[in-house]
Amino acid sequence: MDQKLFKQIKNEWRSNMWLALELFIVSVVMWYIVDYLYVSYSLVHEPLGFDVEHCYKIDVGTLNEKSPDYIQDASSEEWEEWRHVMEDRLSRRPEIEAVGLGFCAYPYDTSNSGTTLMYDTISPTGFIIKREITPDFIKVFRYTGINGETPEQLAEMLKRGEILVSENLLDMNENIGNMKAKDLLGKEVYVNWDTTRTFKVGAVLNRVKYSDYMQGQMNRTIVLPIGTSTSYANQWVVRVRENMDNDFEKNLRADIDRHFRVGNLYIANIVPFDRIRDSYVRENKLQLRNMLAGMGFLLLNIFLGLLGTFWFRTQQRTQDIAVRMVSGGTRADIFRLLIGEGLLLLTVVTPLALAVDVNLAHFEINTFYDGGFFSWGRMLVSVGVTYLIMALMIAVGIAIPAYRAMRITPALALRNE
Amino acid sequence: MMNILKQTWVQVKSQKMLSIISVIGTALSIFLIMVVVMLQQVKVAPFAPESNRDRFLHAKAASITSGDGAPTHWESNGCISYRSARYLFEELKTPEAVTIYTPSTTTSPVSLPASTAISADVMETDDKFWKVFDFTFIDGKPYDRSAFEAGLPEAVISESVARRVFGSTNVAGKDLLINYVPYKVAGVVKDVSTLATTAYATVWVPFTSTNVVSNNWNGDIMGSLGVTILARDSKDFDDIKREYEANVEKYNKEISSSGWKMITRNRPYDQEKQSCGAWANIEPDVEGARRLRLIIYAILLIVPAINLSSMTDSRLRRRVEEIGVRRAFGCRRSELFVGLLGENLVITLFAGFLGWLMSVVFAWLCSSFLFAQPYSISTVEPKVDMAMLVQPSTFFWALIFCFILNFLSSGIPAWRASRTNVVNALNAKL
Repeated sequence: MDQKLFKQIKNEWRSNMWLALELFIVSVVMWYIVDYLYVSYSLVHEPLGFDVEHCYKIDVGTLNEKSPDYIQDASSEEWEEWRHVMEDRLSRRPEIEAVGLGFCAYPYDTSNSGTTLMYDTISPTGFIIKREITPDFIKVFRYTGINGETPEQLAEMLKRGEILVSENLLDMNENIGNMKAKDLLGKEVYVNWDTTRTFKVGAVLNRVKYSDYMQGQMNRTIVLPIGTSTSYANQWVVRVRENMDNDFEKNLRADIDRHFRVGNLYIANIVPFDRIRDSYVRENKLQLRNMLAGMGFLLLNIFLGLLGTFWFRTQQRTQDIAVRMVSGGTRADIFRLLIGEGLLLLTVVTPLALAVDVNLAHFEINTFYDGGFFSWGRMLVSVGVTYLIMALMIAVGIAIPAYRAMRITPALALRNE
Repeated sequence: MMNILKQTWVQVKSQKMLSIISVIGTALSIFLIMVVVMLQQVKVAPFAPESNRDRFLHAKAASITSGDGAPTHWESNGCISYRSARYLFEELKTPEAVTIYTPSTTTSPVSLPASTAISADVMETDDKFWKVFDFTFIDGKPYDRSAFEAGLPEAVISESVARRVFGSTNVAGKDLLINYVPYKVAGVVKDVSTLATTAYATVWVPFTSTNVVSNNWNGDIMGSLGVTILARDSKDFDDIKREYEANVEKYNKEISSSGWKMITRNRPYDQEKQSCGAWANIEPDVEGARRLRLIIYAILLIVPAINLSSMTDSRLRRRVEEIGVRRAFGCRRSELFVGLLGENLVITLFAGFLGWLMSVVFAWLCSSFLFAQPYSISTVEPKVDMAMLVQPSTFFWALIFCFILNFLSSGIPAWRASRTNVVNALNAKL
């Protein structure tokens, strides 16, 4: 009898080691994935600082001399006039709320231009996005100021030739001391490394993110005014009134030949901004999809592993379970006992996994967020969520064989003895 | 052989639940691994019109700087001008062919005169483009050298554009408007999948027929063009790079008065390197991408292997008596080990085949979801055909992964079982 018991413990010990090893590896990988999801979730829920709903990008093309419609030898005044007419006709459409032009300016643009500003001896370093725009561009994407400035007020400032900076402009440089972007408000500064003229900082913008998942330097911005006449303002954007955003693209396309071929200019394409956003964040979305698929795979493996092991185990232990039942154990007791075994295993393994997780974070192998790779709060959330999800899967995996074990009729099981 | 099959079948029948779990676990693992393999293969494996991907070197962008290493300096990263492209690439002696084109397509209006325009993705190329990429012409032929040099308005269009504009595909020689400029259709080609990331467009025109060459900046160094080189053999890559670097050095002397200096960032890139980076200002990290894939394969193999090990162990424990009897009658350990491994291999191969089949069907049905292209606002969905998915190499990889998985999952249990002491085994002690 003693020998048999010993043998059983030894046998259990071995299969438990396999399970523990599996749970350990899965726990570490799961932590990495949960941590990644946590960072993505946090990033996506930060305010964007702009609004692309009901916004469209209008590609304006120029005819070349091979076109029969090409107007030869047009003066620069004529080109300027065409641009104004185009802008004017767009803004006269009843469904359009605002028309803006810009250079390297719209959200999710893959093409950037950088700049910096200088105030006294202070000049933030690193890449800062330069957005050169017409005043109404602000109304299209609805930037707002930290002191509650509305898009309309901000547009007025740009009209006066003032510049706008984002509230995080000075946050990423240690040499600036305690100065914050809001301290630049109303100050005269140099921009573009040009010390021949100054610009007044009209307002400080709420952070304008580069894209939903972006963090760090690329979220800093300096907004400079340009005139519509400037031919390099090649990005045309419009905001459509919320209640009139039905078939906007189709209707505008239908009108191109009649109204939107002005001189040598024509509307070549109309792209809704949600499509531009989708294409820009697709890489992040694909990554999330892959992470979730990986997570599903690991959980399914835990499920299969525990299902298999406990299936075998309850088969082996039929008599053992029967004896428990005969001596007063309820069916629920048996169920709890089996599930408890799995959860205990996970509980033993989790501190070991935590030690590995902390080390991985120390070596910056996980995801960067909020200035670092590690904080106890974030670690505990990720490890806690990992534990809970795995516990749930363990419970589901064991539940099936445990349910079978509960149904054992002690008399039948023991008759074999 | 028959013996092993028979034994396996008996084992499967006697342990239904464990066998089902083993098959599901293995199939799932191979399924996911093969999906990861396919995700990579559509980026690097050859298929028309990019059948020569293993001989491609890309320089779709270049980088210039105003003062190498200076604390404040300007940098410009992006496409290059025609002048730069010609200077740096056209005179290369080692490659078979070099093509210059606009790496990104422009969505433009295409129409018959006096009718509503449709949107097409237009790419501007030179004539060698048609040598580097192997398009299938349904009608007509590509524009040739003289048409390119003369800047003739000739276009190659895809069959779907031909159908939408003309209602048929036999339209070579007919006229249409592209960006309100009259063009003659030189040829019609079979539609190209967006997964052909370099060659994809729906309309191709000579860039000499537009103003793209004058669309340049930074003193005619940067512009709107990129380059793909077709080497005679991938062994020539190093020679081509050396030749290119010598050209950059010469070019830097020529442009020194502009204040700009070109940096190569180790360009041109082969297909694999090109496929793992989207930005012109960062050199793609091939090693990092490979490492990541290795880690993914390792996780996808090791976790199920541990699972299966545990189950194989359980199964073998049921059979210690049998093992004891076989050992007592003179069966060698190595024979036993190979036999047990073989039995498992039958199950693994069966499950692996199942997993591979699942991955092909899944990739086929969910191609637009699985192979969605980042940073592409084209409304055309990525199309895959079976030839892309069922590559001989994927089959080979699936088989290799099956062997590894089998070895990992039954190696230790089989080794332990085969080394059991005969007396203990006969007493059912393991």
